[in-house]
Amino acid sequence: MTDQELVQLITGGDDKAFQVLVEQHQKMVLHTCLGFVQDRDDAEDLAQEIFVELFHSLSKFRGDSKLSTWIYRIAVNRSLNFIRDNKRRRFFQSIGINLSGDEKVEVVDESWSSRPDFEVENDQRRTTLYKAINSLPERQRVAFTLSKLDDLSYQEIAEIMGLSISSVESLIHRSKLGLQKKLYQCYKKGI
Amino acid sequence: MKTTNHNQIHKKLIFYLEGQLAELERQQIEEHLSGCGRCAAYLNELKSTLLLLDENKMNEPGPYFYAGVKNRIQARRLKTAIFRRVLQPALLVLLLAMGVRFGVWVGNHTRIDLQSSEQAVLVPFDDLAEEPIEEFLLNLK
Repeated sequence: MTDQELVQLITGGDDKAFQVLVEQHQKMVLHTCLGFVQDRDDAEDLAQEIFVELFHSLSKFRGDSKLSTWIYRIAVNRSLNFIRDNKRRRFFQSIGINLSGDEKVEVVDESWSSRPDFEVENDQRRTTLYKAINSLPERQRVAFTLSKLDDLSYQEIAEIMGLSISSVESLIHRSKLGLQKKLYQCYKKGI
Repeated sequence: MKTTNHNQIHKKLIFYLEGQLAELERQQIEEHLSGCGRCAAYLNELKSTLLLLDENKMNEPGPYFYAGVKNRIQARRLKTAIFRRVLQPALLVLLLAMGVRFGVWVGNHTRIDLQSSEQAVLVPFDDLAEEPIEEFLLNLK
């Protein structure tokens, strides 16, 4: 079944066709969200929201690009919005304004004491790695995440981001240099 | 090669790990690493860190992923339906009431203004008082 046929079935009210679309793309969307959000629960919530948005906006799909490219684009935009909203929320919380009204209780993580050393080490590495990735400029972060975490080709990334392949190459090259620099700084501090 | 700047080596390690360096550069780095324990240790650390990127690919969506999506769609539909059936008419009535109230307020204020302001007196112009018709006809010539 082609993308267009699938979309036509869904917009015509075929629930089974929508289920097929979700099952075909759920892993890819979840991985993209995880690349940006890093928290498993948040990423799954976000991925489900992306499919809801997709369901309501499928009629806008014109077939200019592949359906998967279109879905990636929505996933990346929604993930970036999620990060921005989180940053905003954290900012307001830091100055004492709670917008949502629900107060999160900070729980001190003491689970490390009962875990093997390599797991604790990996946790530290993971924190350092994602901190470094998140500190990259937005476009570099998107290109790097799609390349390294989603295994997309430069051609696919260029289509998703609406850039030329050479721009994507340059973004990824710069992101690796930036990442390398930040990781080395953390490594030096840790010695 | 021992004199190679460590910083120069560090900058290339990420590309070295990904096999993106030219043969000559790769050889230079390997030569440096064989004689520099500090850079070799950092390479191992970098390798272990970057390997964590592959963890994401092992994550599978939960078994009720599709059910969750359907629930959200239904919840949104319900919300939209409530908005359309209850909130939308209520908002319209409220707007209408506000419009009527505003109209009444404007009307009252205009009346007050009219009462308070001096009314213009219209003095009709009476030609006949100035010049009777007979005189006018006599002067026509």
